[in-house]
Amino acid sequence: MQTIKLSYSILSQWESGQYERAVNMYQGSELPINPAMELGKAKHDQWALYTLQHKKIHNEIGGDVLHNPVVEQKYEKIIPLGEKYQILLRGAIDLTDEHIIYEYKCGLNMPTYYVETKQLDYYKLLYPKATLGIYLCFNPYSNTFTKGVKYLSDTNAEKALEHILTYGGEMIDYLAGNQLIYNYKPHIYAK
Amino acid sequence: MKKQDRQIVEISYQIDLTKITDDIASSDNLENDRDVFAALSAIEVVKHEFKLAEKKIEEIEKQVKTTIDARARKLYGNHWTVIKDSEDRYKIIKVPTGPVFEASDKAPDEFLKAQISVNTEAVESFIKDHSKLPKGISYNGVRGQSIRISVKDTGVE
Repeated sequence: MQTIKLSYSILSQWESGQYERAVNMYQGSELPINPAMELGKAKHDQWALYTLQHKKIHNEIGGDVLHNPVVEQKYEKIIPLGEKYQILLRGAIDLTDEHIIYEYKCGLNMPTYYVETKQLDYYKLLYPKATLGIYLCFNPYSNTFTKGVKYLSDTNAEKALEHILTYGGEMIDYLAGNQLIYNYKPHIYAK
Repeated sequence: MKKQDRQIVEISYQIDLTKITDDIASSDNLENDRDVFAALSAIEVVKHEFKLAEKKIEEIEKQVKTTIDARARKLYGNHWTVIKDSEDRYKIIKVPTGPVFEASDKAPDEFLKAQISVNTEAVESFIKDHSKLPKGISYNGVRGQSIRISVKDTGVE
């Protein structure tokens, strides 16, 4: 049985036809970074550190008080795919607070865009106790933020699983056909 | 929780479309024909009733949206912009209206877009003065049509 390590980022690239990019990400290649991505990373780090220190969300993105915040936790799940392969699904969630998942975004996109993606569905699969997903979208050019709310249920996890089996299956077929499969040795960080 | 008066909107109207169209089609002329007048009045009455109902529904919709906004603000703060359910049954979006950006006279041209449309009043004034069209202006040969019916003394307020 071979283990293929995949993530929402990789499979969403594959789904949108960005095959080369998806394969590069699977292989661990560094993506080219632009100033907007650098700013986004810096903001993520700043907000994460603030939450660790103050047990609340940074004032820039609402300042909500948290109960039991967990920052940048990695989650994994094994998903069988036939007899030959299994998918190791991995994800790092920006912030969880008991049954709530928070995802930070920095840029021009609004929460209306993000709630339509499968990201929170994937996170529901990785963090089943979540019943609420919240996008905190910071616009660094206007210095304002907006908030998007997505309720989460088992339906979201099922949608994510279907997505993984469909596009993960496609991608694995391609990798196998091009001898690009790398058998990953999993380390379980959290269940 | 304060109990509110129930607001119920009910629309129920019958209109004999066959009779109306038959009366108009079989009229000897469209002038002074009581049946034609009655047909046109019937349509206007129904339209008016539906407009009143639509107005009421719009008021109710506005009230519902205000209530949703108040509740969402209480639950998620003032910066909420979208709430989506897990089953894809509904999505509530709060969007700002109007242009995203505004420009001052210092804005470079590359960031501006000019829209050109004909100044009808200026053209008609020119035609009156010069008995011809201004240079570069012609009549629009492709115009749609809509038929409007106005009826007086229908007794509808």
